[in-house]
Amino acid sequence: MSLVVPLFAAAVAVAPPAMTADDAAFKAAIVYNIGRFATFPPGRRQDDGDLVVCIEDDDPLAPALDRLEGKPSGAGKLVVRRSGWPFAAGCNLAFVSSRHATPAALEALADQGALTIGESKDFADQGAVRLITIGRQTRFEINNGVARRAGATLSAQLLRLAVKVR
Amino acid sequence: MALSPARWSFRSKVASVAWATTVVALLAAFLVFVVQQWANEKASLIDQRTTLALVLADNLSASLVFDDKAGAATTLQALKQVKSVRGAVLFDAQGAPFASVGKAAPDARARDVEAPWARLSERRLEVRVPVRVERERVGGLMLDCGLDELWAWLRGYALVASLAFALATAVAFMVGLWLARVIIRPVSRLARAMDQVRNSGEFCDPVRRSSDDEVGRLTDAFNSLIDELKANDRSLHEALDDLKLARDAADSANAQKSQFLAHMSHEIRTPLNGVLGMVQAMQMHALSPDQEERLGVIRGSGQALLVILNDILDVSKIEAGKLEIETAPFDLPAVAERVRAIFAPIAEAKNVELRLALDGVEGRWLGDSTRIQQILSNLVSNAVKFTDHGRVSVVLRPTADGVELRVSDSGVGISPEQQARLFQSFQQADASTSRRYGGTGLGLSICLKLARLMRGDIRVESRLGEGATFVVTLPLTRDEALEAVAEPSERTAPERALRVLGVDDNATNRLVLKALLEPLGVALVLVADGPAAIAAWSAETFDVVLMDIQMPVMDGVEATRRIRALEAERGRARTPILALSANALSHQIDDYLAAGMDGHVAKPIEVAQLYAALGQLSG
Repeated sequence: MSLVVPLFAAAVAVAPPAMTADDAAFKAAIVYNIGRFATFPPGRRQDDGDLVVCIEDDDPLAPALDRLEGKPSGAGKLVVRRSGWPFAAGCNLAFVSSRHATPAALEALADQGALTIGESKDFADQGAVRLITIGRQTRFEINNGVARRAGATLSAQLLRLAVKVR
Repeated sequence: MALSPARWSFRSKVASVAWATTVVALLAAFLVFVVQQWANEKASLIDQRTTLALVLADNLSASLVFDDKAGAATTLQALKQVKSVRGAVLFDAQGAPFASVGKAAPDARARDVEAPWARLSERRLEVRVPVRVERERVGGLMLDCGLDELWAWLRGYALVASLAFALATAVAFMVGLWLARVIIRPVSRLARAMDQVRNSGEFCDPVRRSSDDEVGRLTDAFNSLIDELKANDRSLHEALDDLKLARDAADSANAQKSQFLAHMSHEIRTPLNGVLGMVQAMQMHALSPDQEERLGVIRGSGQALLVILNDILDVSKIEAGKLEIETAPFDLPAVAERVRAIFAPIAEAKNVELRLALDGVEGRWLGDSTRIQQILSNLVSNAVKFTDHGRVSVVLRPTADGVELRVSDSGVGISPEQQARLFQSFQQADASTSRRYGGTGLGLSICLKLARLMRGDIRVESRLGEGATFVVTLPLTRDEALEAVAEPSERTAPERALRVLGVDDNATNRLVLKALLEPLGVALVLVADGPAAIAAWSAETFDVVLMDIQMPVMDGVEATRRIRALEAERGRARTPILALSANALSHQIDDYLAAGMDGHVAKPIEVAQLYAALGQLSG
């Protein structure tokens, strides 16, 4: 945590530019790929195969994710469920915007079996995967305990690529 | 060439076959094994590298999808631990090189790979695998591997294989030699036995049979062959022994027969000597014509008996191989004339003309005059005997290598069948002939044998009813010596009284001597054996000693030797000694002369011969 903070601070200090369409697509791809490196208990995926990604209607990432809808994932395909806050139950992945990423909300989502993904500074405290943008690269920090609490098993490869795993 | 397999010993051949077979089999086995192992090794290498690539691809998939070049590079660095991997390139989904390690050149083809792919060339192994996340291909991985390990494996394997091959070959060679010895031993044994039989000509013991195979059967066959040969040989030898015994028995019987004949002729000769001697003694006195005629018949009969006796003796001598042929100078015309003189009166009596023609054979020849006269006498005798009218002619003429004697007659002639048997012993022209003409049938057989002994021959030319011609060819040579030896001339009785010592163990012979010599006024002393002769000779002097040869106590030859020794001892004048013997052989006469005798008078005693000999010595 102490190590992540300066990094995050540095990133903030650089003043992130407004997210471009490319950036959005890139992040959407990361979300999609995280889903491919995560395993859920049997029956937790919709219709025994589809991976449900929940995102707020107004999230800038939503259109980019929409474009990935239907791509193969596990035995099924990617399903993007856009809705208002809070998400209904049944999410496999939940992209939580910074403003809603409260510990209570994240814990509630984890309890529902959703692997939470977010970008806020302390997201990894209660969230499972925090995306970190370093320059032109996007990395992530993983809280494997939260992921397990959600019932998801993250692949070793994913863990190896993580900037930090707790 | 000693190297030519045809000249190899059987053992070498068998050993070579065993060895060559093993070597070929081993070579094939090793080749197959090496090729298969090589294929296995290649497959294994490809499999290992593909597996490695697949594992890597799996590990690299996250780096690829999360665009983590550094992570990918780190993962690829692990390949440096694998020696044979020279390099690797990771491509992203679009085919652009994403990360690499080592010297591998980016190969665009790798990006399209959908399934693991490998290509093995002589120098390198290239493996391409897709990088997938779940089923989606997100990139490709190319591995470039060297083949040092493979080649090192091959070298090591080839070395081990070569060593194993050499070892196996050596063992195969030893086993081949051993096997050959085991196989060949019975064959060698058989070959040795055969050599032994061939070289020594003797049959070997049975060859030991050591196996049940073809060689064993061969050995059995050889052994039974040898047994059969032995049996044959044995029966052959037995038959030969039997034949030898039979032959010896026959020879012995024949020798006994000859001995018996010789003995009989001697035994007959002694009484004949008495008969003929006494007849001659009686003829010395004036007799009436009747008495003269009767004595003539007795004398003729006795002489005929003597001829038969001499024939039988000659045959037995010839058969015993004891008849000797002399070679001495003689007057051939004189011999022919004597024969003519003997048979002229007989021929004249039968009104048959006997003619003698000497056609260039005058002079002296070298040969056995006695035997030539015998042959001629025999032929002329036969000719006269079988000719009832007409003539008998005797022609002598020289030939290229000797003399030819032809005796022709105008008699009954001889058929070809009869001619074939003519010269065999005891054969006459016809079995009935002997009854009609008499004779032993030995004459011609003796003539032929005598002629052959003189290296000559006799042939007959005749047709039944047209007379016959006997032709004798003898390879005589003329006597080149100039010295003329006078034929012994017949003499009448000596004029003055002689003192004669007669030595003979036989009383009849002594009486004959007395009857023949006393009418001549000879002072005769008669003794019966050698010692008595020496005693008589010591007591007084004699003009001549007539010495019988075969006597008991001391024979004539020994008595003569002693008398000559005593003469030398006492310085006494030499007393002439004449041997009295029947049918003496020339070498026996030589013995008599060597013992000191001065001459020889045959028994039965012919008065004329005896008187001639006495006259020569005394006069």
